[in-house]
Amino acid sequence: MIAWAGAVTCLVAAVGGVAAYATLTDILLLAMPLGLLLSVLILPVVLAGLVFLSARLQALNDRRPGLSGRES
Amino acid sequence: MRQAMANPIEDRVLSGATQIGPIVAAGTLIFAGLVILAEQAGLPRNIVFVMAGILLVAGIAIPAIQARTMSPADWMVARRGASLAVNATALSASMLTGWTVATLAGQFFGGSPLAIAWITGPMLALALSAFMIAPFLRKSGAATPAHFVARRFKSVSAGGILALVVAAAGVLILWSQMRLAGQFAHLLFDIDQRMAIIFAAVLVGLAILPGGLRGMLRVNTVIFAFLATAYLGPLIWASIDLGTFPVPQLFFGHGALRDVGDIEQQLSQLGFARLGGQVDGVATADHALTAAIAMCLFLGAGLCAMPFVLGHFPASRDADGARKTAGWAILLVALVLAAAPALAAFTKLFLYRGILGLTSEEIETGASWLLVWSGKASVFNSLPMAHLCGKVVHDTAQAVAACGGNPDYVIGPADIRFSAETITLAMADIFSMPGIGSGLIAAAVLAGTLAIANATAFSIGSNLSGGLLRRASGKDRQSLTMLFRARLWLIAVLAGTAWLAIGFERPPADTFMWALAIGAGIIAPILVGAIWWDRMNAYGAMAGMCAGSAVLAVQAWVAWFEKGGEASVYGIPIKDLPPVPGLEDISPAVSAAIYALAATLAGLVLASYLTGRHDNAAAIDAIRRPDSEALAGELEV
Repeated sequence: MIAWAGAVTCLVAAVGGVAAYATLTDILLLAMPLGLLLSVLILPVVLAGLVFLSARLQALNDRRPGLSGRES
Repeated sequence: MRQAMANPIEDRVLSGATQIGPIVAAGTLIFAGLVILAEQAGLPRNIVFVMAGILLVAGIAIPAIQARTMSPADWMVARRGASLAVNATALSASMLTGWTVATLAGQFFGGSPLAIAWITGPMLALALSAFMIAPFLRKSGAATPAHFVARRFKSVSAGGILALVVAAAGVLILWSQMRLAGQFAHLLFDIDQRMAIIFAAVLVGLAILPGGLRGMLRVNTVIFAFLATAYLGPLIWASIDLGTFPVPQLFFGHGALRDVGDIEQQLSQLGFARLGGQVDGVATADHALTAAIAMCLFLGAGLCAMPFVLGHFPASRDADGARKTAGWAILLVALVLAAAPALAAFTKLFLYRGILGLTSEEIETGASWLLVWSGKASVFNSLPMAHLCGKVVHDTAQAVAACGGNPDYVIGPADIRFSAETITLAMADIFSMPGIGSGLIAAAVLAGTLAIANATAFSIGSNLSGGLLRRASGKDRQSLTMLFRARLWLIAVLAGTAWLAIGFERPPADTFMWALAIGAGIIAPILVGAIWWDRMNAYGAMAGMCAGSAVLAVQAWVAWFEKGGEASVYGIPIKDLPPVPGLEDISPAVSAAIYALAATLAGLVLASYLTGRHDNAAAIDAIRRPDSEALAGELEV
């Protein structure tokens, strides 16, 4: 569950980043497309954040008594 | 395969290697400072380039020899002892191909819709790998993807077929990187291409043969530190020189962009052309959004299961370490690639300042870089790396002649053209920096090419050694036989790919894309299915791989050898499938990967259902339950 949710969120974030770059060409921030700024600056942080969050959630899940940490 | 060495002593060569990165970065900067002083004393530029090359060779040879071993547990899985810092740094180097580093800024400069896909694609690949494949591969205890598939399905045949698929993708990547190394070395260091390719093969062999995964991790850690310093150093220099924020990844050099905006506004009002569309070799597409998203997904799916990426995770200490390795690698890859838009912006400003108002007679004072790079041919499309008024120019007289013979002809942005990699490779010349800047960037691009070659070569040797040959009969001979086979495969593959690179002049970028098509269309669905679908069995895996390989092979055959779109094999006509709608203007490998993915999934699902369910609950538990026994022992290789 954690892995699938993370993978889907990453796909949406990456596709959204590309779409923002390719379509928001009329909105310029610092003379560059706003979407470019979002993609290049925010996307790595979002993707890496999701990976670290999933590692944390998995560690918490593994420690839950009774469930024996079934990978989800 | 059996327990080869059960010595639990931690691998100090890797666990103690965290400080390598900062030491290499500091050493590179000190070296650059010393060379700048020597240049001021009159050191010729060629000597500077030779010194940068020696630095690169020494940086590869020394850590590789330090990592030498005769233990399969060291060679194949680095004794599961790679620290997070070392593994993430080495993985980042494997992801940063030299040609991406060389051309990305040019793609931004030219406004290519694919530019952002080349940044988001590798990061998406690492994220997908962290979620879907890497921690489970590590949890299984398998040494390689082929080893994992063989254990998961209890089928040597399934593992062997995957090893062959991995080898096919690896050979294509090595072929493209060897060719690139030869072309870059010829372009930048004026070395004969054949000699450079042979030398690159020897360097890769030197990096991998003595220490295997240990050697690859150490060498690629050094390469990443060097590459990041050599690429970002000149950019930070330019940021400070322009008075902008000295972190080029942030705000893209705010002051530079503001100045570029002012200049372009004035040019528009006066009716003059602007810089941007003068870049040769930048892909444009009619369906920009579709092409960019497709390329992003293609790179994400292709890279996430590529052997040179997955080869890093067996060295992690546990599944959590594998996940975090990918997380840190995302940030490190972004650290380098996210600087490309700033480089494009800085270059644009320096070009405007250099050429606006310049007459053809003054070319040597305002745009001498053009004379230096005009005589060189692009490694991607063989066009001149720079030309003026449509002609190659080497001196002022040729520049005047090229622009109609009038020495007072005022050069405009429309009179200049250059290739995509010129923006990066000529950066130091355009910025009027000391010659060491050019030397470092040239060495960084070559280093990036060698890094992916290192990781790929190791993955071929390790996958083939366990996947294809029968095991040795005697237990005592098993370990050394395993190591001998891996090294033998490695030497054979390096020699073969060097021969391909010398003898067959295929465009390296095209070859690379077809390798990624194998990753996206075959390897990724097989590995994801093996981890996540408990009904999948060995027949499904083999049918999927065979179906995907057949579809991809036909597509590649027609695209490579039959330009008309039709071919025949033993009299049987085969026809190329049409490109997926919206993807006509990008590499045909992307469409081929989509068709291959469909064939792989169809074969995988149909064969698994038709042959009945296998009792593989224990294997699924071993992959996904933290308290269960692994499929293979920790040091079993």
